[in-house]
Amino acid sequence: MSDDELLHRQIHPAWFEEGQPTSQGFRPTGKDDGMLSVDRSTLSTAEASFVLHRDGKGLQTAGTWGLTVGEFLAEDVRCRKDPIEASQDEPANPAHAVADFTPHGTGRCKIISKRLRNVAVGRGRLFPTD
Amino acid sequence: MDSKVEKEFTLRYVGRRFEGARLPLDVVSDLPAFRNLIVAFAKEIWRVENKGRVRLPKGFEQAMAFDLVDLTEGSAKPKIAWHSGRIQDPLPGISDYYDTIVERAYGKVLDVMDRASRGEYPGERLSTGVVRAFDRFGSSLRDGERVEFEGSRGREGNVIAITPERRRDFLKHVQDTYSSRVEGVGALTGLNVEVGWIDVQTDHVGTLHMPLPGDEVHDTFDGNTRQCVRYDVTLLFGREDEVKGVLEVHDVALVDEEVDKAIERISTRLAQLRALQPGWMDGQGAQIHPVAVQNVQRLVGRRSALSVAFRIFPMLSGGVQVEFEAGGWDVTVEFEHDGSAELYAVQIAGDGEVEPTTYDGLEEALLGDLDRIVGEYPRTGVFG
Repeated sequence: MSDDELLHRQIHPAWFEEGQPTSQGFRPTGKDDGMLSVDRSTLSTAEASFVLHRDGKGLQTAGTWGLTVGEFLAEDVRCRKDPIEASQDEPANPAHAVADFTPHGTGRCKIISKRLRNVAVGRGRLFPTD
Repeated sequence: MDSKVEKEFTLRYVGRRFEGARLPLDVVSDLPAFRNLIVAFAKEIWRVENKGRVRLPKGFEQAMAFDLVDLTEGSAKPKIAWHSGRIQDPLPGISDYYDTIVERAYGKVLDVMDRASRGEYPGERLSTGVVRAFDRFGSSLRDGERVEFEGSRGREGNVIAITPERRRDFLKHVQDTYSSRVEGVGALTGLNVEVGWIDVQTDHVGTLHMPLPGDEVHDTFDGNTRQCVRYDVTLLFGREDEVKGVLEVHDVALVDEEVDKAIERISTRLAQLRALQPGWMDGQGAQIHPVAVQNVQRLVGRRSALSVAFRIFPMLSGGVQVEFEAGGWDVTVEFEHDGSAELYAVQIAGDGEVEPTTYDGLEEALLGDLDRIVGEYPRTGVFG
């Protein structure tokens, strides 16, 4: 993946207030094993990522935000492809990728997620557009 | 002729707001309260040793004069001195007698507090004067702060100290009530210009009936019913921590319109968070704990001018997260389900970072660190 490839991230509605997402949406949760799920923009659109999340996986989302591979890397978070094949639990998602937070401790992840959130907010919500 | 004797007592106020030998004016009232505590015990001692005598000896009160003679760092250490030169009665040996009474009275203060720290409370009733003095001493302490009696040593080798919790528990055991200073925000629900009072409805301490001068009620509050009010009061609490009344109003003012709207918005948001069911995030997410919600409400009360920028989010752990920008910083305060709190921040246009720091709750240390991050802002200037 090139540094300038945009990666799409879905944010849960509870983590969206006053037109902005929380930094919690830009770091892995306990079930993620340190890997933040994103979708590659070269293989999917912000809208398609949103629709797959909501309709394909049946999960809630307030919208799609975006960060480039280089922006993750600037915070020492490396990204890699992680395509998902269709299963009983989940539809196929060839655009799936992960941002690897495992080198960082919990406190550091919180700081990183704030910086990532601010970059993503600066870019604006990609779908639905504001 | 007696030689003049001086006895010094050093109190050590520990907490962020006392750093740099600062003693906030609302805490200065502790010093006369400390004096009153010594005097109350001194009177008890004298009466025990002079059974049958109803009146204190002439000049007793005057002899119990104390002076603030120094204030040094660490966090703030006021040194209070008793000096026998104030004694008017020239009877031989009287200075030494008063000296021993002061010493023993101080010893009783330490003994009572040391026992209280172990959950032991006086079996026999303390005199009204002693209890009243204990009720005043330390009433302005906030969570996380304490007053140490420097140089003291308890039975377990510890420095004897008063904390808000210890003080509260002690007073609930020796009398039916205790007083404590409380700040927050509420809604103006009633007033009377002629008698002079306002009623303020609050989330935590019910409706507070505050006596105020009639002209202040007229000039400031009349016509503003349902408006948001910020208050700083000393309340009387009962054994079950129920509010029995307002003892003193230190400050009460209308909150400006923008802050008022923010408080309403936050209140609505917190109600939404409280309604979240377990598994609220696609199967993840514990129910939001009331203690986390209360801590957010207290933060709003303590830093209401900042609350205009607050964005409130649920945490998977059942805590509540507050995010906002202020003073060029992007700040997060997380209130956990167990009552603890965490503060961290990043500079918006720079590389500055404040790594996460954990606190026992919304304590003064957290507020002090928050103020240091965001810098000067109109903490009170928005109030009328």
